[in-house]
Amino acid sequence: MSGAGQDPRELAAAYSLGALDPDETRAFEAALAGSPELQREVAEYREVSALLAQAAPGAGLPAELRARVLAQAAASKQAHLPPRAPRLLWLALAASVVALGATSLLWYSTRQGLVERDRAIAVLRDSLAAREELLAFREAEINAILDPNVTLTLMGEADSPKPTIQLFWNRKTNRMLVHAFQLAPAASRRAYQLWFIPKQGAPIPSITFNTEPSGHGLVPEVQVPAGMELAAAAITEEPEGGSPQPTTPVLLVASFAPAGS
Amino acid sequence: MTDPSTSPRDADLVIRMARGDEAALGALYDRFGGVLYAVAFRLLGEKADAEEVVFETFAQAWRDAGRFDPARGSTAAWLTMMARSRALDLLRAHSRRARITDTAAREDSSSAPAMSGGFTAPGSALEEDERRRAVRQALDGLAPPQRQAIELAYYEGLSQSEIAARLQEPLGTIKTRMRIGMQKLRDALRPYYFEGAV
Repeated sequence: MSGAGQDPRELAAAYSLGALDPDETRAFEAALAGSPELQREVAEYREVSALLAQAAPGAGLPAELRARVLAQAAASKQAHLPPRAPRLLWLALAASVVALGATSLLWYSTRQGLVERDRAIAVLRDSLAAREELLAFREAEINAILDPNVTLTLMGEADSPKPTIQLFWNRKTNRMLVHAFQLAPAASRRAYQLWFIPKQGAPIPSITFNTEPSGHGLVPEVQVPAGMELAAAAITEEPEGGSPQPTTPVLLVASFAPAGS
Repeated sequence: MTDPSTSPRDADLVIRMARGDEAALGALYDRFGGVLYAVAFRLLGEKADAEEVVFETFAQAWRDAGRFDPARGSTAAWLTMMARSRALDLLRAHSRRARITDTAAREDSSSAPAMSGGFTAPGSALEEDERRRAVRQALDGLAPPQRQAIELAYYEGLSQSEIAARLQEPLGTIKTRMRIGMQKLRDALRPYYFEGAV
């Protein structure tokens, strides 16, 4: 995978075809975000991809699909138009002879329309806020990975279907981003625990975490013990609340490169 | 066939769409709908799914027209990317890969696929024929293993790992074949990019 040393430019063609595995895609997109050169490379391969569509075996386009596409566009445009006042209201105002009851009904109808519009706006605002929050989270992730003080340590084997964990360690802030993939969720009431192993002394317990059913897990802000030289990190399965010392065999382990190497 | 002297550019159609011009959406659909449907159908193997992909692609194009940046690539590349992404998502979500792969395995993978009608982009019939011929020649010019790797990814939605498993080849070999094959296609097809290409 690209995080383990492969030049991201070598993955641009496969990325444009959608042929990278999910973890490779994530790592590539992290590199893509900060590289105009990579963005140009991907853009050009997308032109190739558009041309390859020419060689797709012909298939009969359903005749009614065009009308469906246009109807959907017209409907969405209508939905974005400002609400029009009911025609009857204008007639009533012009005539100035409308009964009070009719006016009240129209007022109620218009008010109901405004209430519904306000509700729709509130839903859209919530959705936008959620997306902004997600975007900020993603940006923080990317920044955490791309920081020049960060070193990557891999637990497991690159390009392997076996469980793998990436440790992005910022030695300046002593923070670590832990990214697990292909790691099946721990059993009920159990969790994975990260251990820091100093050059001398017992393993130091760190965070517990679990993975999603897809095998993916992410812990963005892990405090790394300061004031000592760390030799390695390891993962064991422990009770949900964690253990003061490992109680099961080590599942994954990796040595840290010496600082500055 | 559209007359290039009177036909609006693809990017102009997108600009008009951003202003709410439904006729521009219709024109864009007429140019690209057929080939996007062919790509989606090749990937998904189901007419209803392919139809949904094309519908959603144009719905997204309509919504996002205001954000389309012609400096970042052609309209054809933009639409193809959206359609393929949706088709691949659907393929993976429905776990239909095994069935599609079985269907494909019955076909002779070494034979060139039948050509679709192609994008009915503005330009002379001669220009469009030339472009389709160039794509076919460029694919034919690849070493068969390179072409196979690209076709399995493009037309069947397989990842590099899946291709390696299917062909029982090392992953690194598949990656190299795909990369070199795509580089050759890029070099061969650069003169035939759609208008507005990077």
